[in-house]
Amino acid sequence: MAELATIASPLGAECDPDDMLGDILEVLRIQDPVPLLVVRGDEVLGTVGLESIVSSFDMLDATSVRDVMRPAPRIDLGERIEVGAEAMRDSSAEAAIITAVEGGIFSKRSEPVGMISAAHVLGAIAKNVVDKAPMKIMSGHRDLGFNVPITPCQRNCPIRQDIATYIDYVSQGRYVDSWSVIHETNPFPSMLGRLCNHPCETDCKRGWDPGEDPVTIRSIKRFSTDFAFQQGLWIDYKIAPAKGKRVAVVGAGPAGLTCALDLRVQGYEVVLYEREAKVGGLLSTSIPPFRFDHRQLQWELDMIMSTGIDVRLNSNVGPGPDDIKTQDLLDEYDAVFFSIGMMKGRILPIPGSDLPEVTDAMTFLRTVSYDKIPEHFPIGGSVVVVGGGAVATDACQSSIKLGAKDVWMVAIEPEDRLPAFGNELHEAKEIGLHIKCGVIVKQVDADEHGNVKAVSFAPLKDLDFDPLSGKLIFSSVKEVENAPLWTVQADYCIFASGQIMERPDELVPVSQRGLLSADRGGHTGVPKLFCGGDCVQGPSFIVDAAGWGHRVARSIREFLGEDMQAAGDRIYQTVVERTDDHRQSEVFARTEPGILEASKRYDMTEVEQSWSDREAIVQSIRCFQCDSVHHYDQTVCVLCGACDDVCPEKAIDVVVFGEDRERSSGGETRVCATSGGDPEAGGYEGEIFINYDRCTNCRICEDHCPVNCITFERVRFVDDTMRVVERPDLRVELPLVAVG
Amino acid sequence: MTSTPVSASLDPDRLAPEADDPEVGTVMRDEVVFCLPSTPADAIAKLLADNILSELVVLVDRRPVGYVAKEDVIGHLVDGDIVVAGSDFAVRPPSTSVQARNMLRPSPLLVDEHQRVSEVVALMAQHERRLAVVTHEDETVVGMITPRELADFTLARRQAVRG
Repeated sequence: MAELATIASPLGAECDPDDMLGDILEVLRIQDPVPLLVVRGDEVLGTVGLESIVSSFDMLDATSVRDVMRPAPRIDLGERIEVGAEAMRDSSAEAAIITAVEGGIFSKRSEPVGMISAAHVLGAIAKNVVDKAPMKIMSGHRDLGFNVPITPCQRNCPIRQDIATYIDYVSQGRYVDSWSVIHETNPFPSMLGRLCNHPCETDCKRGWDPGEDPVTIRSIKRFSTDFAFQQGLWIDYKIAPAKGKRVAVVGAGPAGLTCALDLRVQGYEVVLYEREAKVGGLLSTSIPPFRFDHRQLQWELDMIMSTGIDVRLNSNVGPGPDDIKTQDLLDEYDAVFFSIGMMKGRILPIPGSDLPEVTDAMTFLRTVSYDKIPEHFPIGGSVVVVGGGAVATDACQSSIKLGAKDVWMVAIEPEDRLPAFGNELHEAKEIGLHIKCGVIVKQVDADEHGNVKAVSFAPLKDLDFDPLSGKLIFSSVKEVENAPLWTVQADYCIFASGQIMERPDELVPVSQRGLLSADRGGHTGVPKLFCGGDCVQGPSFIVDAAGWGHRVARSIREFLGEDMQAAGDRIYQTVVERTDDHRQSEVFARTEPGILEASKRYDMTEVEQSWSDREAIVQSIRCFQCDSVHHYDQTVCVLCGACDDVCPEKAIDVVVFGEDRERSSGGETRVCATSGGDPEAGGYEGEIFINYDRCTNCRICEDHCPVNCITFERVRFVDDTMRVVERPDLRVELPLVAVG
Repeated sequence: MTSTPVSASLDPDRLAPEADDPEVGTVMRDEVVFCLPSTPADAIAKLLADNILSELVVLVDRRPVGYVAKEDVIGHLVDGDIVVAGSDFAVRPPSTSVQARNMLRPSPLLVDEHQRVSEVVALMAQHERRLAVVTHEDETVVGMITPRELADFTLARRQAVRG
């Protein structure tokens, strides 16, 4: 039996109970993981460890050691380690004081001679380890690569769309298959095919090549979806047997709907609470109709609703007297998910912002979405929109289309740093938008009747932007001294200056930013309560919200006791397919879908035009098919090394045992292990590794293989929860969704 | 010029993180120490001890599915499920049958690499955790935040203020 004496360390640094954590932080850090002794006189009062700084991080200089110290039980050094560990566990201690008996018969005393902490105990257990295989430290940054053939586009997509596959299917003319693959993780392809910020394209390997542009992934998605819609197709979800658990989803935006669908398909009873008269969240209330085809959104929402989700419209969860209370939901359901977004626009608190002709962009766009003209809107008059983001651009274009004569977008950033999408700004300018940049709003001026007559702005000095996030650095926002205000005549002012999250009630925790407080899995720390989407992350994109929906659905399933390590009830099929050679695509350049000519863009007709088959196929074959993996026929390969020699990306390593070949690709994915007899007797034996972060699927290795042992294949997993059918005649009348 | 302060005219969500409250991706430990559900308890103890951690994230197919706390490992030692070698024993103790899956706590604390340090600390305090797993937007785990990183960040910030 091991005794405490074998693992104890000498008594370490000390502090006083009245010391502040801020004063002892450096010592705590140096001594970590062993805590400091808290001593007053000769008496050891307890210990304080580095972990204590978490709960008082903002108040290190105002938190005394006494407030956070833990007890320190005393154990004789002859006791077993298990006894010491038990004493620590039972008293919730970080450490124990080890004592030894000193003195003669009459002066015999137990004196502290050392200490043990949890780290000492763990170190003792660790000595048992002889097998180092489980000792894994995974390299962190994704650009160091895991060397697995996950395509860069898929890796960068918040909902992990199997992009290379659906693009390959379009290139083969398999449009319905393509749409089906898209639907595996994306319930809103018609919206994301038009409005996604496409982080996938940012990381497309085609775009890594100098002089090349990424594949037009977003528009290919739209093409497949347009085709399926025109064909009258429908996704029929297979619902798993009922789990007997009920989940409330509050907020029917992209995060809430995605989560609701995922849970419903898994057999949960889902009740969806939405305060608007239609579902869709910002999709149906904040995005103006000229950006998308609302019939397609309706179609996609219908597919979700027809799975049997119980929708309760005009149902607000909040603190008001008529509102549903969070506590009631927590009492009634097994789990509650808040995905309430940031649906309230921010009006900046400047003089004149309370005038009747001043509104926020969210309210303005919401009214337009119900096919109404906002109150006080000046048809034939002048509108000033304060802000330079995507919402501001939508408010500007909507104002022009509603009949305003002069529309100004006024922003603090220079025009090349505006957060709005460049193409949308260009579109808006073509139909008459005026833009003024580099000024900051100061006041809204009223005439003698108390109506808006102008908006005034102060010129700014040059701004600085954070190189990492691209965001504005607050300290660089300085007005030009003594410069006159820039004033523009206006009859109506729209603030597109951010959004606010409306906290449902005190039960739901909030962060310092005024958002709901939850981790990336949606856990709030409140039992049964989950939060996710814009209300946690802040304003973001539709695809991010859908990603939240998937993640929180998984968290809720884990919380409700599902074994997420197992496949559950779903049946997965492994599909292995040969993939096409797309090298001939070098001759094609990236193109984008056309837009309506400017003279036809003065109403709410959709602006972006659809692609023809030819355009879609041409753009699809530009894809490198990064999901293709090398298949070496191990019975044929002779480890000649030709593939390694010719690879222009240095992505292949042929390792022949007994030969000194350089292994430089950094690849860890073993694609071949073969032997041609005993090396001692003139044979060969070895392995081939690929670095899929480097491979561009150029197939030069395939061309140069003298024994033709290399082919390219895709391996994917398909579950059985979806099948494509013709659109059914819905027997149940579904709630009105996309249009008011 | 009016008396309206500049801050009143700005959307706070549009502003870059301030130097004293940077994104957590800039202060995190740039590696992720993890184990699998099948990792034995003594190996977990070694991972915790070697990397000075109180909690260890458990990954399946590179996705976080839970975590193990040092208290759980020590609890199994107290309960006799793990045996430590005595100094006078020439033979190794029997290997333990306790694995990560037997003490898996659900819901590891996941934070985004772009979240501010203050938000992450608040989440750690709210959830009473000593480990936050930092993820990229695609859910790839890219780093860790423990009290050590928080202490290093605070000390560096104080050093910078002192000049």
